[in-house]
Amino acid sequence: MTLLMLCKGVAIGLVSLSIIAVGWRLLRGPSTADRVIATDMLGLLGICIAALVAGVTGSQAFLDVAFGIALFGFLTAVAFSALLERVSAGREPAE
Amino acid sequence: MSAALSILAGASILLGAVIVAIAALGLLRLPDPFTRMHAATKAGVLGSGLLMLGVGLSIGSVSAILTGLAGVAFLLATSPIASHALGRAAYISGAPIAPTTLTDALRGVLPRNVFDISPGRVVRPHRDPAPTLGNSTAQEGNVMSAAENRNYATVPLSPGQKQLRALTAWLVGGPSQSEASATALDIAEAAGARLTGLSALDADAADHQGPVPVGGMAWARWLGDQRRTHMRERARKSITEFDELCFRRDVKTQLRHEERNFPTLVLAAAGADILVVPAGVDRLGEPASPTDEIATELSVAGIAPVLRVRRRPQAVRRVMLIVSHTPRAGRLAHALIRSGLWLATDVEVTTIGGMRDQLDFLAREQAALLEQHGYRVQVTAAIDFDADRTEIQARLSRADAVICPTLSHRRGWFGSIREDIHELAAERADLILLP
Repeated sequence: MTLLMLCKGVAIGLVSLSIIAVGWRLLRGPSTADRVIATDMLGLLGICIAALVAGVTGSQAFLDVAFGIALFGFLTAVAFSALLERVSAGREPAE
Repeated sequence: MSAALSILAGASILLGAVIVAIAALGLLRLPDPFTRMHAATKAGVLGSGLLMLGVGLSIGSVSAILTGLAGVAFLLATSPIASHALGRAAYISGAPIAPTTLTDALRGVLPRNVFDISPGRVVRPHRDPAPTLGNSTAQEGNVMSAAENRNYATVPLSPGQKQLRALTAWLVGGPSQSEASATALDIAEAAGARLTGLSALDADAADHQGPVPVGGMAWARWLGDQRRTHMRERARKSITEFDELCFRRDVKTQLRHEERNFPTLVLAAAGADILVVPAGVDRLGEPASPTDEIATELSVAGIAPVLRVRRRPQAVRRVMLIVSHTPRAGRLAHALIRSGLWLATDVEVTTIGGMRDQLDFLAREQAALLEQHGYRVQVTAAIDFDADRTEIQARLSRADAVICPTLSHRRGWFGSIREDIHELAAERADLILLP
């Protein structure tokens, strides 16, 4: 059991470091596409965090939260890419 | 919970976290949005899926394991669609492709925008002052001391070293743009150098509203918008043209579009060994006199030697090097040797202007340096500024390329006579190398 907790602790550390890296990419860009991809990746990291919280607290509700974030992440990615495509094709984004 | 299940849970949590960290590292370090997307979607999905599964296992109840499995299945089902949509959008929006990419399979299949970097991007102010850009008054150089010039002329250069590694073609538009791009490609192909097409748009000029915003701010802003649209249209044209020229050429090319204020734009060109610039246009792509040209401005900025192209040459056999009495006149031979252009051609070294002994010294010094590097050198009689213009121009047009300093020089009674060999040469020569 302690070994499992150690694994979770290391995982929390790694995921936190990843958030810094992805956040840097999100702020830095340089192109809009980079930022959209970084947003998508942040969604995946959100899944990881929710899952780890479920693991640490032992409550299964957070696992459902992770599932919800996964669903939203997919929708976000598709919506962002549609927006990017529409804007760069010279049309106005839909209101 | 059995020990085996616990070990399995721990292992998959750890493995998932490591894979997620690798994905984040890839997002940080990979060169272009397409490779970054590949890291984020493939490795990211695998990592977070493993984490969910591991946590489900560690909780141990049937419903938790089922939730974990459902999460993994959902991620695996949706991530291909999401990444496909993202990649397509990135391509259409014109996200930069890394120069190491070999083929572009979507070329001609999907429309591709050239403008991606947002114009409103904040440019961090540079700590050290931008290179001094010449306006017309600052261009009136004063005479450089002979000692200073001598220092330039005698700095040793190692021969045989491959000098030309990176070229930048400055894309502004205008009648000579296609000739300049083609010349840059020729040079890059011959030297095996990397070529960057830099489409530089002066954001200050687009936003400039004049001393008084005539007709109100809204009107001035509208005018600025119109101007910016116009400039972008021109940039788009020259970028497309450059792209067409690069197609199926054996050159490693890269395209960049930058919208910034002019000093920052000049810094964006730093790192190139030569800047190839079209003749006869100013920084906005409007027709301009030689004094206000973009070639002159860039040369005065002193980032790299500037090659001003009016017409693409068939072959360069005779090069004329004109030593005059201005700053940087001692650097002419250096610019030629450093650029690695026109190896083993005939170079005619001549002088112009007064103070014979100093000029002759500089000419001799540079001739010796050129001879050392394998050029056939011939020192000819000085050009007389007071002579007939047609005679000077006849001499200039005998050469295929001219190397001369940009800055002008005043002499005579209180500097009443202004000498500028560069302006004279600009009317006649197809290629001018400005140090």
